[in-house]
Amino acid sequence: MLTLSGGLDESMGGAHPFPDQTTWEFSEHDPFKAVYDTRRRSVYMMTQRFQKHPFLALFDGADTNASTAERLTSTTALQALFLMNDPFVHQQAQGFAGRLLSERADDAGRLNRAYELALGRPSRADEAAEAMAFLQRARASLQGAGISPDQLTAQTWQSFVRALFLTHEFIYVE
Amino acid sequence: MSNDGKRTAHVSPASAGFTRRAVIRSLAGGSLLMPGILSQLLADDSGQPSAELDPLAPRRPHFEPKAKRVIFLFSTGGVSHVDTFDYKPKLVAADGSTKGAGGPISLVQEPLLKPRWEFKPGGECGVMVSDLFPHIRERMDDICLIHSLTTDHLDHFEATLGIHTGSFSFARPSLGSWTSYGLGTLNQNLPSFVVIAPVLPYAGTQVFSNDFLPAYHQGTRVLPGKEPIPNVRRQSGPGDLQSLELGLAGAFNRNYLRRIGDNSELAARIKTFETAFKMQSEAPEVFDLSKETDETLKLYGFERGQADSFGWQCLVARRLVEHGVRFVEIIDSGSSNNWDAHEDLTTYEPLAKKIDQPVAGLLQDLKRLGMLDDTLVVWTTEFGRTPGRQTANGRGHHPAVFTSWLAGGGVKGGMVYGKSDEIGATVAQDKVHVHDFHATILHLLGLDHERLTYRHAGRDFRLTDVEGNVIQEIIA
Repeated sequence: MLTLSGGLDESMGGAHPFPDQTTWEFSEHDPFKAVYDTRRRSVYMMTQRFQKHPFLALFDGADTNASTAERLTSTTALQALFLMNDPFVHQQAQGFAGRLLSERADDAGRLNRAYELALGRPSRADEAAEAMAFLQRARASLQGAGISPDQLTAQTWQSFVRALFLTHEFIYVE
Repeated sequence: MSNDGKRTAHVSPASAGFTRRAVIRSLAGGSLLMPGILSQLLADDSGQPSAELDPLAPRRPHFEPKAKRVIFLFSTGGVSHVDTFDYKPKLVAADGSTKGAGGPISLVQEPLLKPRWEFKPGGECGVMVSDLFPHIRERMDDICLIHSLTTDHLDHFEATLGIHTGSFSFARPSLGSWTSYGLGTLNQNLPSFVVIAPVLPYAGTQVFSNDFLPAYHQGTRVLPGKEPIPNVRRQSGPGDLQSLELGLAGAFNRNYLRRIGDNSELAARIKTFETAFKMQSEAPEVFDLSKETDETLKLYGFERGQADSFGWQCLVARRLVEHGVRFVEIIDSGSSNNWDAHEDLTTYEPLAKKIDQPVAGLLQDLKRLGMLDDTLVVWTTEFGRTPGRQTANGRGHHPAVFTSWLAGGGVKGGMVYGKSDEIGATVAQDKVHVHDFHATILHLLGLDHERLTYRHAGRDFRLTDVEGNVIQEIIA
């Protein structure tokens, strides 16, 4: 998602933003429990034995206490809720939709670009038809909700991109 | 979906005839999002157990259960047994004499310190409880005290991990996760295992972690406030926009399925989005107390709108189990400002006051709703405290013996099991190790702790490791 939205921070190396050592007053009663929000590649994520990063806890991250030979994959309602409602996903949808709008001038072009970037293939005719019908319905829904005309196209595409984020072909590697 | 399906053979499916076909039908029942794929999925009926398609489907336990659900109350910090539920008149008499365990971690001889509070008999059974818990004392006829619990570690982190996971060193799946794994859940529009913890205890989220069990069984932490369960609030603007998005994703998924052929995992995936969609409306409903009467709120000892109160936690716990959540844990305090009274036992007064009436109210409410019979209520802590003093008015950590209690769910009320010695320093009779405690809880749920296993890292794991004996005497 970060790659699609252009939000991925590709910088390399550097120190992790731990608090200054002179400020440490951690103890058993007040443990170090930071969660760092990061847009860098996951190799730079801090891992604590003490707790899983909330995102990794939600999506079957590896046990932080032992070497993990095999990773589980699960499909839970809370994962679906994350994809549907988490502000992170909505932000990335915004970024991705903005990119499509700036890179292509018309809906057909944007649709193909979305498929190329997100799924690595062109859209098929039936998908294009479904998508176009969706764009109309979403636009009508947003219009009905009183979204201003200058925001309409952007929000319609954000909505489409969110739907694309919910597809199995995007989420799962078969 | 998970590859854990292969590993779940130790838990029998809801019935021998509960086939993949039946499960797909139930998954698809009333479906808005997946018409059309049913026939394809049904075409390949390999007779796999339900768990493979739906790890949270209700499962038949190993034998007839006494309890169907659990409310697990955890008091953080190590609650002093001799000041609360374990009446030791000899300790009063021996105040100041140097013959008992004391000091910070019960390894040194320090003068004995008498309990700070008076004990009085409660209920018809007349079991003695200190003045810290006047409301819970009135419920003693429903409660079975265990005076002979013992744990393996004398520090908070490890002992807290131990009482939750049976493991004192490495993180392992929590009792609630094992319960969810063993029994599934009764309402998939809510998580199977919910933890109401405004602040985290020692060992943090590890106490309700699924660890190596699949993520279906993780404890979902609930915070009082606008969005108790993460991401249940719709973000997609106008009311029908999200439905449109899910509809489009559903259409793409169906086409995808046609292209790649039968993929039974897709049924579970599609189901998941439906569940999530429903959770958006059902979850806020559970946390909406507007339909509860003022009288009920009063029973739990809080005023309308006081979502930061322990009473709110208890009432929400009742509503969650009422709505089919299998295991609810309530944690009363975090890794500081808790029951860890090394220096000042008077800190117990506000801590006890905070939970006393809500816990008693919860028991009373469950009882009048007819739910106490099959709802197991557990109260526990990580260890006891030294009968000897640490400072002038404090006690150290004491893993050798401590008290916990069970109520409802097939447990005899008005009963005391096990004994500590006359000053509360060691187990005098019927020792109950943490593993025995866990084995008993699973037993009440109809689960054999020796058969509830999960293969991980090359061997089968259990909540109770290679130990654990069920306390038969307390079962009604």
